[in-house]
Amino acid sequence: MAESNETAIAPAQPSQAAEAFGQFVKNLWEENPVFRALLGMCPILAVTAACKPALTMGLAATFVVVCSNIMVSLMRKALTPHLRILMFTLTISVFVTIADLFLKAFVPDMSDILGPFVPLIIVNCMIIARAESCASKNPLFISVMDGFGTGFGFTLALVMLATIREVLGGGTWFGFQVLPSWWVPWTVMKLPAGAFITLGFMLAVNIHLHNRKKAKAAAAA
Amino acid sequence: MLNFLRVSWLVLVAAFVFGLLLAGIFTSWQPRIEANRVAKLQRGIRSILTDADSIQVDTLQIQTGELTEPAVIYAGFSAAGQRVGYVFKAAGTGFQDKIELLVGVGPALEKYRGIAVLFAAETPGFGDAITDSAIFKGQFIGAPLDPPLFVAKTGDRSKTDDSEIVSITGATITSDAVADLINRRMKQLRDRLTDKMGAAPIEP
Repeated sequence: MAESNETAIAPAQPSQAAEAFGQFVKNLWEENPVFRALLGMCPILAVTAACKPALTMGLAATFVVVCSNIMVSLMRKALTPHLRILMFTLTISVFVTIADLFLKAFVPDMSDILGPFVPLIIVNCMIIARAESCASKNPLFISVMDGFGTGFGFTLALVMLATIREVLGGGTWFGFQVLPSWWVPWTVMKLPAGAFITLGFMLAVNIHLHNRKKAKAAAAA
Repeated sequence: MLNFLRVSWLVLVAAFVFGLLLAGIFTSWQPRIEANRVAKLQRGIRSILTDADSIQVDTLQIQTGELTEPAVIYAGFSAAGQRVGYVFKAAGTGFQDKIELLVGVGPALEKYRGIAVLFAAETPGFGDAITDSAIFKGQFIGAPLDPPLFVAKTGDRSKTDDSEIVSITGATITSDAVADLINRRMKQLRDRLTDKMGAAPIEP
């Protein structure tokens, strides 16, 4: 987060938009909260048996991380070190409660499926990590883009995992039949074991790609 | 005191503002959340008492152990005013979470009319068949109240007019739990329901 710190110290410059966009892209893939930072593992394993709940969870978490980043960024100058974590938790829990009530009121079926995992976003360390390392040190615009990058990166990871699990485990994608009827569903993919296996493979692929890129960069230098 | 305020004013202000925000949102969405709950209950009742024209809610006082507690029942009436059956809630422990069902019985308490799931978080691909499988749920339609329901590992799932429930493959505990919680609830309710039937018929 060294670059972000510098932005906080430097006065607002025309390149702020570029920096904010850079932050967005970085969180979306290069520093993806799931594949690179290994944060938010609980929902990653628990709600990715099918795509619809995974997408719902991803969007709920995006809402929370963006709103919490906005609030934390706005109050960053008034934050004192010893009340910092308390304020983050208070802010996050408010938006999680709003997200939970929203799902209950407008998408009750999804709310039933996700059950306790929506309230559990409160303790998702991905969100508190963004508040601590970005929003509490950066101006509003950068914090908002950082929140969107993190949220969409998280959603992307959830949906990728859920796609593999739902297609192999049931032959469907977002509820639509995508594999022929002779396909024998791999029931294990719908169980916790399937979540761990898929996540393991995806992390391996991600690390492989990352290492290859690093090796290329080293060779070029 | 001043020092206290200087240190913590942000927490106090934020807690107050957030509290107001949440109270406002809760008040405006709560009716909708309640309506969703009622709609789900109604869908469940209608899926069991398919021939009911109107549903009447009634409360029975039942004895559970040493306590007397209220139990809500839903009585269905046909367009002609005939009683077509009762639906009641039954809940118990499933394989990994509670199971909450709606159970329907015929007007003379002679046989079951079917079940609907209000809440279940059973294993995907196995136990969740209690929610999805029409074949498993179909076994309860027409099953007699006597003898009590019992679960068999193998058998004919299409035979519905006996007390035998053929379990879901790979989900014996879930199947057992369903049969058991229905039997238990029926035992608690049966006498009181019989009294109700003897009483003057409820007009829809």
